[in-house]
Amino acid sequence: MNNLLVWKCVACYTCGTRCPNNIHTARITEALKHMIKEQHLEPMVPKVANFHSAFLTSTSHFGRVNEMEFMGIYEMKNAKNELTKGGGVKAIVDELKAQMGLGKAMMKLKRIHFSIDRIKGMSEIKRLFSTAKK
Amino acid sequence: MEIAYYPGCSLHASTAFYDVQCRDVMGRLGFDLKEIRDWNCCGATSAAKTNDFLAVALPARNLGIADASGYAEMMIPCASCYSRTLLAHKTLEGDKDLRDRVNAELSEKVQGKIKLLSILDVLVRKVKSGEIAARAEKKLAGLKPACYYGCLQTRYPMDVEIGDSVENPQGMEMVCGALGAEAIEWGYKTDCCGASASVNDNDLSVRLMSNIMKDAVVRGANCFVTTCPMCQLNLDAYEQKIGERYGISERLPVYFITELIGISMGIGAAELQIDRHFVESIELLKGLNLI
Repeated sequence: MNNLLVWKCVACYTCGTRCPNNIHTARITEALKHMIKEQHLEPMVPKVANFHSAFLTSTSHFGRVNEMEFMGIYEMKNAKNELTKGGGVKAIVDELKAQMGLGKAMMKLKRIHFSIDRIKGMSEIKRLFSTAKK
Repeated sequence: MEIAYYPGCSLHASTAFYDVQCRDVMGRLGFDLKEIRDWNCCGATSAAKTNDFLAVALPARNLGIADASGYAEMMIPCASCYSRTLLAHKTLEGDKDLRDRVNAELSEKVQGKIKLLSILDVLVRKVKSGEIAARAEKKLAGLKPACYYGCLQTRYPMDVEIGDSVENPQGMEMVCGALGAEAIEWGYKTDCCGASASVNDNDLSVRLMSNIMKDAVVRGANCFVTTCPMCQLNLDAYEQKIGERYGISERLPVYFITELIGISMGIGAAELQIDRHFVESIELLKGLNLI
């Protein structure tokens, strides 16, 4: 699990599609990501783990990903990592500057939506999340 | 003809204009898109990277809702949502135990009835019937798109039959042909843009996208066309950065397939919300007298 491939692989599935032995390496890196999370191990690239965790957290709140909330949770997790183990305040500031630059551009382009889109079937979503943990 | 429709989270947020275009263009092609009730996020690649049960269960809830909707077919424009939902359908089809476990949590159970269609499944049907060409008031002469499929339109982590070539898909090229646009031949049509890495590992993603851009440029493309919201966002939002870092001076607008169809149908650029791209995308169309 101490392999950077686990964190560089984005699961484009090219490997398994082309492998003459039908080995889906991307499924292996996915499984390793699951195991690392289940065992509460430190991911080699925390940002990647934080991204996916934040995405699902937002889904568990509204049933649909709220992009603003998702990015907010992602950056808070990153900030926590940088303060305790990583690049400190400078890294946090650099990251936020980059994302805010993108956010500003998206706002100008009317590609940021501020409404909260919460589904009615939240109890089912919560049940799915809790069953998944078992 | 009414068909069920699953827009997914991106089409309600950063690529909401794709939703606007789908409804308008599909409407004019005879499809009344009926958004399924109370749909949830499909989990995208994040659920697959976190938990196998969730990766199937999240899209499964939507399958149950679609099955209960009474429609025979459901169109899913987002390549990621379509891919994850189709995978859930296939997985549950082959695993009764898992299906029972998932259905135990759902009020609307998965029955496996609904037929899932990608946006290209629907559009290619309309190309073959001649309707796209017939409705193309304006032939898109001079437009040379690099059709960019990305990863999820043709690649799956299990055996899934898709209606197109995996390594050299032609769906978008067929639509372009019917519109009179000259899709170029190129070698990076299914190469990964980095997807979520554009946020969490930006240098990697920008490098991957530079390879895509270089090939498109050298082959003579003057724009990209895609069906995937993530692909559109990535190539569009980072094209400036890619160009500056890798010395590529050309800027290629990144269109959705629905934008090209819409323009040829005579729908205005503002109505299609093409002004919501990062890379300036209207001048090229004006210059070619397409709008």
